[in-house]
Amino acid sequence: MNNRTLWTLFLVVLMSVTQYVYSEPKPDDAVHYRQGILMALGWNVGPMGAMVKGKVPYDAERFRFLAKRLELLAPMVREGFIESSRSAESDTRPEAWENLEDFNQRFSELEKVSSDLAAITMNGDREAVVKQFIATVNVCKDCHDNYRVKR
Amino acid sequence: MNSTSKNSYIWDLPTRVCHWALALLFIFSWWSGREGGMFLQYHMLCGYCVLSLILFRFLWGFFGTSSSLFSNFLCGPAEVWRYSKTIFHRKSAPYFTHNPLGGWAVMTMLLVLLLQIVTGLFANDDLFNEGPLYPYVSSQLSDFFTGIHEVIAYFLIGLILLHILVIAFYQFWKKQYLVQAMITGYLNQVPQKSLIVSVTLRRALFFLVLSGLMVTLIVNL
Repeated sequence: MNNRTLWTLFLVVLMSVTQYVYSEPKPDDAVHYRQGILMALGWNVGPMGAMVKGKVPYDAERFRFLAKRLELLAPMVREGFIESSRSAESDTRPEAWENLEDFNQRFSELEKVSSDLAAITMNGDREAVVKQFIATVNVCKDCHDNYRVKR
Repeated sequence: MNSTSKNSYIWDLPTRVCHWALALLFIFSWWSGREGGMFLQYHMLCGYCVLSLILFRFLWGFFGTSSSLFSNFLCGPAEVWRYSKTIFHRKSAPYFTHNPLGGWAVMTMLLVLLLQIVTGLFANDDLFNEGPLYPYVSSQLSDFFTGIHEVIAYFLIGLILLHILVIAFYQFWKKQYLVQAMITGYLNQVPQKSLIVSVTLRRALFFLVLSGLMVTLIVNL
């Protein structure tokens, strides 16, 4: 290999390294990302709540569809809470970062209850579905009460 | 004004029912609001009942029985001040309705309750519950109202604790049996020249239905 080839290789390697370094998400983007996922969760929980409350007729097929969405979205929330976003402006209370173990535990719970919900919607027992839905939203609520800024 | 030992009828049935219903509804509202989630639909129902009762009380304050009329117990600052100076006296002047200070306490509680209901109508719980007027405001404004709603809840608890403390003070220190009065309608200490409280149940029922209809209209806007 001549000098020029070596230099080219070196530059390519350097560029990919810097590309890698720069690909670390910015704190603001992390906040937007998790807010987007949480918004998407709420977007799908809304119609489920309306069905459970009897505001709209219960539709098992649609409920199952929405529950599967929750199951997919739930594990994505925690990905937005990267260390560098600790002091970024958001609705997350500092307590979340101070109690990371508990905070993470809540994400695990959310993943568990939402995947259980998706599983329960498969066999069609409406009463069990409603019960699990309530358990799911209670995980949402408890975390909001503890780690979301007061409005 | 001299007090008589004879029990006098001061609180008509509608006023008493309104009072105790508000008390029960407040307890349930507090509990269901804290539970959240699925209980919020009952919390909202509770709020509509409270709003109906408040509207009723305002109508009753203008067109009700003599002891319930605002014009008979809402006094100017001078009289409030005069009464305030005697509040710790064991034998402060009795009244056949709220005393000058108590009258404004009632009005304060009613207005704060009203504010609580109004903010609740626009509130949301971040999950799947929204007040009936939520669609009419931006989500930021709804969040703002929700925050106020949560703060006022604590303020109301404070007001109610103060209310209970003062009632206990009148009950045990002044021996003005206000609790019995709110239960039976009869108060043990009243001025010699008292107005007559004539019960007009049919009118009360009319106002209650009217209030209920108004609330139904508001929440179904």
